[in-house]
Amino acid sequence: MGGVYGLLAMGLGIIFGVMKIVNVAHGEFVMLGAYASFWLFYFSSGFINPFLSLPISILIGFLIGLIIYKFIVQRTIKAPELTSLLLMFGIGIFAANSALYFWRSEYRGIPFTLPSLSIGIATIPLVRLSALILALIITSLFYLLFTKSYIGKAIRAVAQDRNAAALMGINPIHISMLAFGLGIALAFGVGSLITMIIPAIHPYMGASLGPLSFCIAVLGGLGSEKGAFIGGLIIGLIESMAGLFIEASLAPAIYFIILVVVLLVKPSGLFGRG
Amino acid sequence: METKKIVSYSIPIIFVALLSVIPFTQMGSLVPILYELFLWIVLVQSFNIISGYTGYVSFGHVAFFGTAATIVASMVGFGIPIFLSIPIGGIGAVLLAVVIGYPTLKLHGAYFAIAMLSISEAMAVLVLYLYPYGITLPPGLYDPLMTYYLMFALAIVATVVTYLIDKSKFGLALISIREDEDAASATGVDVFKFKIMAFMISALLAGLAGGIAVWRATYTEAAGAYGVEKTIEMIAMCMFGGAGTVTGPIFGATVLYALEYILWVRLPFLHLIIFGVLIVATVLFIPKGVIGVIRKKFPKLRKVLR
Repeated sequence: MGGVYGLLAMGLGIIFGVMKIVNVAHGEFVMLGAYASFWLFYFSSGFINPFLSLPISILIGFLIGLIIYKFIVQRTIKAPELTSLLLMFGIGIFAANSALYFWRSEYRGIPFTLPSLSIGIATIPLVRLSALILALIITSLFYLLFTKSYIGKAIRAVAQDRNAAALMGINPIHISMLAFGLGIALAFGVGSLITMIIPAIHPYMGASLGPLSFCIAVLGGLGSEKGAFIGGLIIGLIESMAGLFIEASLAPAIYFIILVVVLLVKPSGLFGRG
Repeated sequence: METKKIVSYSIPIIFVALLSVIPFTQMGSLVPILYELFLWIVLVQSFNIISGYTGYVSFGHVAFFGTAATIVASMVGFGIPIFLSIPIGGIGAVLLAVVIGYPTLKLHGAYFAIAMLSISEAMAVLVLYLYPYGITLPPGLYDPLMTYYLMFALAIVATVVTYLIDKSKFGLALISIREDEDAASATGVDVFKFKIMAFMISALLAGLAGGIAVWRATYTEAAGAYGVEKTIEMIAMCMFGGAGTVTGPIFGATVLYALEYILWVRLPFLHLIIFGVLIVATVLFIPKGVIGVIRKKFPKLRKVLR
């Protein structure tokens, strides 16, 4: 789960880093990604399993991100931070309640399992293991994209200094659009991965994932890819530990305490700049 | 001039008089609807003080409502009279505001929004863990007339408080924080003090509303008391009416509650989709809300529509 959490915060971090938009609808996009996987599985009568639907879902997310950016977010790019915050909040409500209205509230899952692997006394379900491996692959791909490719460098340049990047011949509007698309694509990817781990998709699953992804992102440092990943691993571990030692249902309260402590001690997070 | 003043003062007085005699007239069946409307006005004004005036968007404002409701319900369960429990619930909400506000209000607005979002989630989980079956008040407490008048009075108090803030230097300080926090701080406004004061007033109003609401409902449970949809509706009503105005929240609450009531009968849950669209559309096209548009179009009304 930790690897998936890292991806969750990474998508949030890309959008925040480049546009200073806090995407409070991130959880809702994860929910849509999970549903994308579910419907693909359902309508292909089981042919498109989560492994196959992952790239499709990421692509759908990318396109949706581009469209939302083009028609809605771009209008507020120069407005104060809180304007875009409210905007994303509205989009999230729309997404969650449309899903509730059209797809109803029942829990759905993809009946897709792989055998478990037994090493000594430890039993590792292969589906979860493959989800972790896929999360790691996506993370490294994105990391490479950010550090090695021209687009990645351009995105980081815009995140650092919008005007300076524009002076160097980078079109910040195009880069923002791309970054927004990538952020939403990551959210959709997380949604598809989650269908492998938890067989319970429902329209309001985004409501708890949203705050969770903020805790990870703030813990690791908003806008830092490495921080997001390590923050995800830490939160994933804490969640498992909470289940073992205290009470699994209390985990959100623990996230909040972590969030407050981080904000008090080091607001820029573990790996944040400045 | 004199007649104008008399007219502008008498309109609210006539309204108040009419609304206070309604339970004893033919229209007594309207009481539950009006009670709900007053509850919304209190919550929206409360949200308006911290978010509309100060510009710190509280994405989990329902935390104060729910926490006060839980405190009141459990205190009444211990045998403490309801009239004592409600103020204590309000104080509990204020304490919660201090605990959240102290670390988060020092930082950027976005951190505050995030913290509020996760605290309402965390509180809901905590309350669900402590009281998995909710809390039911002892029988015999239900008093529809009393709760109607209390909520009515609280709605008036909330509006008057907002009006006083709007008129005062305190309100001016809050607006200066909203417009440019660094500039406000540079010109000598004790930014943090004003922010936390606004947050405490806001929490007190929401907390008192929570206490009265639990009395009315005689029951509280985590999912209902901390429902995300309450925060959504608060934000939609405030934005639509006009954040940072006195009359905007009343207008927004009345129009959107009426809309919700009509839609609920035929298409339950559709109103939340519409509220989402409304928030997006308001942010994009009328960021100052309907009252803001009216004030811009008719500058003469500016004095009346604060």
